[in-house]
Amino acid sequence: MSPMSAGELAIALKRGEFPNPPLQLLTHAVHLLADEVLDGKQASRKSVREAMDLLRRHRHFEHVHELGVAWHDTFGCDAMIQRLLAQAKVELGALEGADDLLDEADQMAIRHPTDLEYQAEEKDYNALRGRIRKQRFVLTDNVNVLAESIAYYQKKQLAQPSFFLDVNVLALRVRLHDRIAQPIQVLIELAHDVLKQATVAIRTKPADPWALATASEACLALSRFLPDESWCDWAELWLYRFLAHPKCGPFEIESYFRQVREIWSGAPLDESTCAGRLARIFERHMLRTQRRWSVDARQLQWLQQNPEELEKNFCGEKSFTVADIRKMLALAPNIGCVTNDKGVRMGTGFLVQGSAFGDDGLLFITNAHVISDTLTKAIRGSDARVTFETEADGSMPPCLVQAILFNSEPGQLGNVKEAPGKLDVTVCRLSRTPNGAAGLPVAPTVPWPSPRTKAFVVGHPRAGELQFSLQDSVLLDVCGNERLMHYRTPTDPGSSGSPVFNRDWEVIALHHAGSQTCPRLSGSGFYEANEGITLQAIRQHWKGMATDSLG
Amino acid sequence: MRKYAVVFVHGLAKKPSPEKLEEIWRWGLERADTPAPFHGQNPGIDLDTQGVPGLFNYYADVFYGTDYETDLDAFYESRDGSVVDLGSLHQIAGELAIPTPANEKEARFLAEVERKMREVPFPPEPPCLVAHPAAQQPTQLEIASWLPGPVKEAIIKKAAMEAYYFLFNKDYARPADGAIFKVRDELRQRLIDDLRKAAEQANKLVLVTHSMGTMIAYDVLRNCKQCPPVEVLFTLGSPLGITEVQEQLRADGLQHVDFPPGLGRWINVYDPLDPICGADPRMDDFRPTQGRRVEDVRESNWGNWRHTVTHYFAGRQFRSLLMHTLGISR
Repeated sequence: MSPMSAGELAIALKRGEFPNPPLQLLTHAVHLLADEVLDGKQASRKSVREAMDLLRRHRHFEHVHELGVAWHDTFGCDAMIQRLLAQAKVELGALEGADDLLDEADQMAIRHPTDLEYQAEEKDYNALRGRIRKQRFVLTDNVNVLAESIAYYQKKQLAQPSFFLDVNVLALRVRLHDRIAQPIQVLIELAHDVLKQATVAIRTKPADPWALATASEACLALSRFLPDESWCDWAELWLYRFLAHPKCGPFEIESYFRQVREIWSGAPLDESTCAGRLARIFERHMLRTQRRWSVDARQLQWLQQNPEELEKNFCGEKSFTVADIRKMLALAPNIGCVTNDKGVRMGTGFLVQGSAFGDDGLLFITNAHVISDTLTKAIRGSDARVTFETEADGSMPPCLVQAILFNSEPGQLGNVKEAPGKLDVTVCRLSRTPNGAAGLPVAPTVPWPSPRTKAFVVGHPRAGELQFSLQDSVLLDVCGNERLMHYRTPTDPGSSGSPVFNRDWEVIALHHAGSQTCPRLSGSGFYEANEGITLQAIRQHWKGMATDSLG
Repeated sequence: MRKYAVVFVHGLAKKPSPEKLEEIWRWGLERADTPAPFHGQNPGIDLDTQGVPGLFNYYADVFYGTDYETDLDAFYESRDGSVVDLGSLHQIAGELAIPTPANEKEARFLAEVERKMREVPFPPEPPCLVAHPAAQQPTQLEIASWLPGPVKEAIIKKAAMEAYYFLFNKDYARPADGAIFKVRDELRQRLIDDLRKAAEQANKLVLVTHSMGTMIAYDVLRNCKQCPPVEVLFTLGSPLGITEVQEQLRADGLQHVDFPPGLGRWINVYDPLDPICGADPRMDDFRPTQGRRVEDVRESNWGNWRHTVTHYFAGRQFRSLLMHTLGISR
């Protein structure tokens, strides 16, 4: 069977069909759809709504965003598209932009009081506003924003109880109680009510994993106020059932894990609290099942200040050593998240010593399809912002692109014969670099592919926090001229521009794309693989330098 | 095309399966947790990560068949030091058909090689040797640190017999299934095939050889015209210093052994207490060719059985020389 074309996939998306396409093909199909919308003729409102909702359900928020922006720029506000676009912006970190969209929708509802489309979306608009303020509270610790968030989550329609909204109200009110004392009995009753709603949903809608997470979170709240009644054991039990649910995937896990970390202050390294115990369960589960380890700015700082915690928590792991974790932590200050000027996260990039390329200072490397002044879908250099995890607490403004030094457009996946210039890379100099960033070490050679050879990817997948992928990280192949390499390391959208490391944690390549039907580098046929551009090839084509002096 | 490829050639006795042997050798080369005298600040060499293809020449099946062990946990359990006892020696080192020398010369070869190896000083057994767990599988010989005296004698006998079958190109009927090999022809061809494969992957070849594998490598480099050029030869725990061995490896028309003309550099690493090389561990009998001569490197390892390949691989000098050869900087 011949692979599906981008045009065929675009048609399927408009029909509401999602044939689990390769990521690069999906990107092309969404570009085609967005072009249709921008032409203002071919794509109907219904088909765009259908496609955006489908992409949302599969967590491709960068594509939801692209389609939504195309619609908004061409036709203005549509009640449902506006909500989907606002959600995409929230997921991609652009909180201000999302709030502006919701304000615009409110204005439209006032101007068109008979348009029921806006009324139908009102509950979701409020939930999104609550979510936006919750994220702002996490960033600023401003209790007024926390109160606003609670108010929006409470704006529900009484006829439609929602344990999703109620559990957020519960978590945020408990958090408010930490700053301003609330009547405890009211919070206990609310927790019992949420637990009851969740347990009913567990019985009536067993296919929905969220009810299990909600039950766990309600028990977590109860353990806070009734520490002698073993509610934490129940919170753990529901959490284990949630993690074991067949529909509980990486997104679902990360959503509840983030809530435990950010709202309940659960730190995997501190098991003295119930939230800490749950966070530790999450971390171990992700390490065992996904071989991924995520770290946020707070945990990163804590580990750097308390290195003995590494020994306590990671010794005994077989897939990696404490020395690996130490090296990974040392790398983190050099890996940044790339956003546009609206704060929408578009990819990853990393700093290396300019001397690795015969240049001065620190250089920032990412994909051309992330930052480029010539590719239409990329962020222009002047609009690009780079945030490093060590500064993700908002203490410093994002870094700006001062100059693009080298740019090479993307080539086709797996095309070893392609002109040597298509490297999908942009090398730039930033306006400043974070304290503690000395540049990632660059490997002097390209590894030899074998079942033993490792290729680790570190980046900001799905616009989340910095993630280290440790699972199944095998280097599958390297093309004859050592320009492209394929590896089986699992990656997600947002990993574009991530550094690919060898076993010694030296950078060997720039992550570029992945596909379930990637053309093999050797011989014919296809396989599931991710593709990176070797730093050696980038250096050769930029500077024309021999590989011997690399690093 | 890579700059360098390494071809490894194993030594005497029965071996684990080719895949398992490669795993153990790579572990020996990569491990950073090496014991004394190589403990602390002794980084290993991961050839794959350094972009160096590695090929593992294998010939143990010619002598011992292919009934490889399947329970490989023993290797991991015995890293702290198990002991090969006489009762399980055949299971571990394999059973070799007893040779029948065709003439006085062949008989003298067997007797002299064995005698010279036996006379090498042997480090004393530690008093607690009986307390160590008994080895069960060939994998454990690849890491063995301790051998009781009678086991050492038996392995030396085996070394002399394997050398005999190879150097006199004997027809060897494999006890396991009766398959017959002309030993020297077979082992030469296998190594040449692997060198050719390596030459397709890299511009320069490096040979890392141990024990009896050093004889095969020298023979192919010196006496086989179809051998691809080799940049550097490493010999570890080599019996090539023994006169009786040299007599069978001299090139046609020469009265002495010499440095192979097609070879760039030869580094010989030895432990003077290794019985397989200890009788004459230096390669000073090999006449220089165009100024190129063997570089002898003395590097003592540990335990009372100093012939173990993974012990040689832990050596600081050996690792440093190999890294330098391959252009690896640390």
